[in-house]
Parts: sequence; C-alpha cells; structure tokens
Amino acid sequence: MTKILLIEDDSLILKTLELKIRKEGFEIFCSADGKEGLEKLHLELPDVVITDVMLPFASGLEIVSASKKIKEKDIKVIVCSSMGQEHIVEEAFNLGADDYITKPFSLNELIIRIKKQIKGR
Amino acid sequence: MKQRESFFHLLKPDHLYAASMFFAVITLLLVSQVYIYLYIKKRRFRIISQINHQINEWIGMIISEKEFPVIDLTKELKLYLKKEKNREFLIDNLIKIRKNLTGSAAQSIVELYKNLQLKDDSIARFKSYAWHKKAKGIYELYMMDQEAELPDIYLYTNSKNEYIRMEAQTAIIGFWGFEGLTFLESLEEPLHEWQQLKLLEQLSTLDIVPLQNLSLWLRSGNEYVKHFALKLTDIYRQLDMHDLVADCLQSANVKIRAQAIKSLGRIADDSTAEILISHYPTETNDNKKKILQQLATIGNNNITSFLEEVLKEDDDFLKLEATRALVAVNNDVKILNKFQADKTMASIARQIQYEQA
Amino acid sequence: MSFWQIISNLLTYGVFLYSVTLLLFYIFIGLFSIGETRKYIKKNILTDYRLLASSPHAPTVSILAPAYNEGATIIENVRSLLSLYYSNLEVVIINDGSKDDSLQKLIDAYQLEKIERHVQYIIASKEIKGIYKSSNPVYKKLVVVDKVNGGKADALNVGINIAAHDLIVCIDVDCILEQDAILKLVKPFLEETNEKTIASGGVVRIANSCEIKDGMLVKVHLPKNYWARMQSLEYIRAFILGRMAWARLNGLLLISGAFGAFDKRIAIEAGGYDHNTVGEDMELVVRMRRYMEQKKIPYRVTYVPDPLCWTEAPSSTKILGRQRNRWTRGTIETLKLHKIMFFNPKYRLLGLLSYPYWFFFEMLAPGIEFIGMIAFLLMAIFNIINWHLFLALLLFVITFGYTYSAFAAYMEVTTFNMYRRRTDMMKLLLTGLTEPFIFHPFVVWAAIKGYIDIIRKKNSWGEMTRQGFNQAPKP
Repeated sequence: MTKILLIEDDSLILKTLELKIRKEGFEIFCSADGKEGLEKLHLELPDVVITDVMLPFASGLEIVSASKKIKEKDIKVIVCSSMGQEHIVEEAFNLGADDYITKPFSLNELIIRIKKQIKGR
Repeated sequence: MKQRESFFHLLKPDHLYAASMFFAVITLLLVSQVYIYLYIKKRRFRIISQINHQINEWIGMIISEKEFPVIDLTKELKLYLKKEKNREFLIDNLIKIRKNLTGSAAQSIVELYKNLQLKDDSIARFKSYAWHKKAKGIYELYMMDQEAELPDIYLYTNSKNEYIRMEAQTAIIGFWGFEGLTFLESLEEPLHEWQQLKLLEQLSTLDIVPLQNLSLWLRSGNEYVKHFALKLTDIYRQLDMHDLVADCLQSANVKIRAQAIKSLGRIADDSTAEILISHYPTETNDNKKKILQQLATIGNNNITSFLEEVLKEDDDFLKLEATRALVAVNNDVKILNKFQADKTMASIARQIQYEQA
Repeated sequence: MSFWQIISNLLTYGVFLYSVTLLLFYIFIGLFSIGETRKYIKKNILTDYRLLASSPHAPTVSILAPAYNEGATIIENVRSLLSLYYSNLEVVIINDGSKDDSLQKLIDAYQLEKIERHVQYIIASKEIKGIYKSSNPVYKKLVVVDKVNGGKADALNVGINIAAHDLIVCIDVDCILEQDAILKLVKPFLEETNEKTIASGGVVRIANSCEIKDGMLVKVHLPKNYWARMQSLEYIRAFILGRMAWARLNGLLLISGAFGAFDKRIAIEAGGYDHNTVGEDMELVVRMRRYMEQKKIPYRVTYVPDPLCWTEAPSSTKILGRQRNRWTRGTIETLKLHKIMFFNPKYRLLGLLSYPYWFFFEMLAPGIEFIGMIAFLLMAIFNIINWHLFLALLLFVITFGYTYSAFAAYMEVTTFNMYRRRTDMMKLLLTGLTEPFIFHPFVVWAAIKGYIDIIRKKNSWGEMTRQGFNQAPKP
C-alpha cells in the first residue's frame, strides 16, 4: 500500500487531512512537528511526504532536504504553504520538492496531486 | 514622649492589625479565586474535548460526502452548547477548518455554521458595544461568507477602534477583492503597517484588476493611505503612476519617501535614475542606501561618475552599495580591481567579489 | 527625650512613610496593569501572527545571540533559533572568544564556511576574527561571528555592527524561545502610528525543572529547587504586574537582556551597548529613551506580556547572590550615568516618575531595609523598641506582600496560566509564604554586597555557571 507521511502542526487540520487521505485508501502516518516528522520519515520511508512550511522544532525545508537525501527510496514531497509564501516555495523547489499546494485548498485537489506524484514515480 | 503620643494618635497598632487582617482576607479570597478558576478550567477541558470529538465526527461526514449536514447532538452536548462560550469555541474551530480549505468541504462547514444557528451569535457579537466582541463578530461573519451583513460592516471601515476597523476592512476585501479598497478614500483613521501587511497578504491571493482610484490614494491627505498606495504601486507595478510616486519623494514622512524610492525602482522609466540622483543629497542615510540599491538595478554606466562621488561618503554602507551599483551598472566585476589602495574599499571589493562568485 | 528616642521615632516615621509610598505604588501598579493585560489578551484572540511569519512585507529581523563557552548546548540552541517562525530572519551567533570548541562544533554541525564581509565598526568594538555562513541552504538564516573576547556588551555591539536587518532582537543564546516569539515581539513595531516604537521587551520565565528536548520547551513545570521556585513567583510579579503597568505609562526603563527587540538605527544613534557597566541591558534602554527625549521625537517602549522566553535561573545561593549583586551594581551605574534626568521636567515622565521610582524603590530599597534591620537590632539590644508597634508594622508589611503575590498569581492563572497543575500552584503560593523570612533577606544582603563592591569599584562579571538544560526531569 502507498505510504503517506503528513506533517502539519494544527491538530484539527491534521485530523481533517488524515481522514480524507485514509478514505482514499492510502496508509497514512501523521506528525504534528518537524522533529517527529523527521523521525517518522526515516522510520517509515513513505512514498509521499506532505509537509507544511512552518513547523515547530524543524522547518518544512529541512523535511524536504532530508527526504531527498534518503537513497533507499524515491520519496516525493508536496509542500503545503499559506498565501504569500512563494519565496519559501521557491527555496523548497531548489531543495528538490516535487509539488506544492497553497492553503486554502480543496481536499480533492490534494488527492489529485498525491495521485499525480505516485504515478510519476 | 509628647511627639510619640501624637504619632500614635494617628497610627495605633490596632489600625495596622486591622489593615493586616484586611490584607489577609483579600489574600485568602484571591487564593480561592485561583483555585476556583483552575477547577473551572479543568471542567471546561472535558467539555472542549467533547466538542472536539463532535467536530471530528462532522469532518468525517463531510469527507465521506454523505447527506450533509446531519446534526444529531447528544443530550450532553446540547446542554454544553447552551453556553455562549462553548458555542464560540465551536465557531473558532469551524473557522480554522474553513480557513484552510476551499471547495465543497468549506461549503459544508458554512452550512454547518448556519444550521447550528451559530450566525445569531456572530450577529450578537457584531452588535455588541465592546470593541473586541464587535471585531470578533465581524471576523466570524466574514469567515463564514455572510455577505448579507456587508453593508453594515462597511460602515465600520473607518471606526475609531483599530481592531474593529481592521476586521471590517479585511471583510470588505474578502468579499469584494481589489474593488473593496474604495474604503481608502474615506479613511481618516490610521492604517498602520500591520494592517497594511494584512491587507496585502489578503490581496496577494486574488487576481489583480485595474486599480482605478490608485492616483486618488497616492494623493490622499491620509499619510497611511499614501504609504499603502505606494506599496500597491510597487507590488503591482503600476507604471502609469510614475510622476505621482516621484512627487511623494517630497513628503516629510521618511517612511513614505523610502517606499517611494522603492516603488520608483520598480516602475522606472528613462527619467527615474536622474530623479533619484537629484533627490539623493537631501535624504537620510537609510534612504540614500535604498536609492543606491535601486540605481543598481535601473541605472546604466551614465551614472558611474555619480556613484564614484558617493564613494567619498563617510558611511561604509553607502560605499558598499555604491560599489555594488558600480559593478552592476557597468556589468563588470573587474572594476573592483582599482580599489586595492584604500583599505576600506579593498575590504568592500573583497565582499562583492565573494558575493559574485 | 533622649537621642535614642529621637532616632527611634525618626526611623519609625521614616520607614512608615517610605512603606506607605511604596505600598501606594504597588497598589497602583497592580490595578493599573489589569486593564492592559486583559486588553492584550483580547487583541491576541483577534490576531493571526502567522501572517507575519511568512509575509515578504514583514520587517527584517536579526537575532543577536552572544555565546561564551556554550559548547555543551550551542548546537541545539542554534537549531531551535533556526526553527523559529519568521522568514525574514537572520540568526547571528557571536562567539565571544570562547575558550572551548563552540566554534568548531558550529562549523561541523552547520557546514559553515568563512565568508568575506566588510564590517564597519560603527560602534567601537573588539576585533572580528571571521564571519561564517552555512553552505547548506537549509541553514541560510545562520551567521556566525568569531571575535576577540570582550564581554557581553561588546559582543552585542559586534552583533549590531554585523546585523544586516532593521530590527535587532537581543537574546541569551541559552534561552529557550517559543516558536512564535519573534512574531509577537516584532508586532508592536508595525503598530506604531505617530509615536515611533524604539524597543519592545519580552517576558522571561524560569525554565528550571521544565522538560526540555533538543533545545525546545516540551512541558512547563514549577522549579523543584526552592530558590528557583521563589524566583518564578518573583518573575511573575515583576512581568505580569510591574512591567505591564510601566509599559502602559510608557515609562519602562528596563528590557531584559535575555529577550528584547530594538530599532537598530536608534540603538546605533544612541551609541550601542556600554561595556563599562554590568547593567548594559538597562543602560541601553535608558540611553535610547534619553536620546529620543533630547531629539524631541515622540516614541514608545512597548512590552509583550506573553511568556515567550524561558531561562535557567540560578538555583544556588552563591550564584543567585552574584546575580543580584550584579543587578544592583548595574542599576546604580545606570542611574549614575543618567543622573541629569533625576526630577528633571525636561525628561517628562522619564525624569519625573520612572527615574525617581527606580532611584528610591529599586536602588535604595535594599539599603533602607538593611539600615532598618541594623537599627532594629540596636534598638532591641538597648531595649528601647516599641514592640507593639513594631510587630504591628511587620505584620502589616508581610500581609501586604502576600496580597500582592496572591494577586500576581491570580492574574497569571486567569491570563497565561503556565502552571496548570493545582499542586504546582499550591507549592508556588506556599513558597511565597516564606519569602519575607528567607528569600527576601537574602536578596537584600546580596544587594548590600553590590553596594560594597561598587564602593570598592569592583567591576568584575559575576560568572554564571549554568547547569545546562539536561537536568530536566525524565518523562
């Protein structure tokens, strides 16, 4: 089953996205902070990582960078940003991010982007 | 002993004992208040987790796109939601989801808000006389797409209270986009930088439309509006505004001049470099630095002599920026080689060489 | 009437009058702070700080963190600074000639390489040996400056010279900041209207016994150590009541050196930190204010009451004593440097209220109390004490102190409520009961030592041997 790691610091949003992604039939791991996110990244080796830009303990950019350093697997990264963070998205792409999505977004759009990444692997 | 007696006449130990008793009682009251408060807080924690549980269930329903909204509250929850405070907590959380989502899920959240009659709460807050409630009411109505209230909200875009004003302005932009900026024309109150930033962030998600009244705002008697208009000119590259922006260089307000310099750089034409250069001597050091930064991007090698003149300034920051500009306008790093004699200039040259590498 | 009786009377009257004034000040401060704190909380509810974190229109900020022999914790401290929510940020670590391997550790952990940067010593300072930046774009906010040892004030001045951004936030490198600390501290600068915001002070809370992981605060606990716990209460009182009231009056004289933001240009124009005083944090604020008064530019020094910065407090009497000794010397030196403002109407509120308050009730208080104690002992020996009145006065002062502490605890619980466990609150309040008998006399004694040192012109830095944050309880 396709593994997805979701890192987002707002518990309510995390829960919402988790429910949606699970309903689509993916195996999902969640983390509310960057540090734990990094740990789960190395432990679970997910197929796709969805990460917020601003996270406690470690930034989304660190997540991108760490995901791309993992040799065992081609991990796809989707960066989730708020409006006005284009410059950060640019940095994320420089570090190897595969896609980005801007808040607010529709749940279906997120799923489409996840599927696109999985197909592209 | 006489003196002492007169003193005690005024201050008997008994008075002090009485006062001590008074303070002791107050202390005990305060301590009991602390504990009552902690107890209430703990009880509330239970209520909150129940509400959260219910919200999660709703989210589940929204996601499965079943018949929605289904409002089937437990008896306990019904009781909790009789309290305004708990309903406010519910609204806050619905807003949080609404803020992050668009599409059908967001619509469902708004439906839920309406069906739970939470709008009545928001309206009541909006009608309240307490500033923080009023502002919050506006925020809730706007986040939950209650456009019908817009005419009433518009009246508050020039409110004396900055928070009410700020929320009202945000709401108007939220519904009308760039066209909502008309409130700027009648704004007499300050629009400080935090508000400006908030509006700019909000506008950044929208598609630009022609800013019909930008020239009015640039000439506004309200300095804050002028400042904000200059930022709009900069961000959305309003090339037609060049002359009006150049006029803003004469402002007594250093922030307005600083932004005018930056905006001019963004909408520069053939005359801009010369305007900035002739304005240069009258500026503060901070703004001089900004002029040099703009010249680096818009200037050509005609301004070399001006920049070399700047190198005689005392401030190293100005020298640095001027040197950077020299390299930029001549498009040649080798120009740095001639600065090896002077210690400061050599150090500046090394920095620029490093940056270019 | 005998000579001793006159003395005794004078003392009774004097102490009484002084206490009444101080008491009135306290009541005023307590009541005056309530509205302002409540207002702040209401504003907070309406504010989305995250907007500032990522906006390209947000002001640019340089964090200045001097480090001296912090090798044990520097890597994780820098890491936590780098993960603060703020995108227009530069984190400047100033290695003040550390004798340990701090610099090498930083170079290794963050892939630093030496860069070329021209530095203008706008504020005179010791020489810079090298400036480093990371080759890894993930750490692009980080700047490390290696300099010749010169003390904290000198290191901060180097930081000001190096800082590329408009606002500077000065912190102690081993402080633990909340993720949104910068956002909240910087917002007052954006809210200025016709008064220029020159500085913004933050709250410092005690981190002893808190759970800390990788330089981040995980869970707040009340300190187990008596001295640290007592300081928790002291800090709550000072930050929730005192600073808030003074900020509302726009009369704040002190921004904690552990966490404060300044307008860089004004800080430079005022001359930067003074390295001849041990109270450089207070001295800079006073000098910046004085500068603005002299220039007749309307200004504000603001204060953010959210608990955003956590620091380890001294937990032994030896180090606590040294710290309070240094604070006393810092206050005396600062007030002496700016004595022209004492009751000087030209400096308005600053000269007529802030300065005199600090002079009488911060600087002189320990001395007056000490003289009072000596006199009490002498009178007891000569048996000329009016025990009845004395006990009544003592009881009065002590109960008032309790009320003030209880009020502070009440304000804390109903606002920021960092100590949620009921037993914690109980311990805090019970510890407060011992204050007049143990903690307070000790603090007075340490201040008296400060007086003595200043008379002897001793200018040494009380070295603060930190225990490191690794002592947090195991979960």
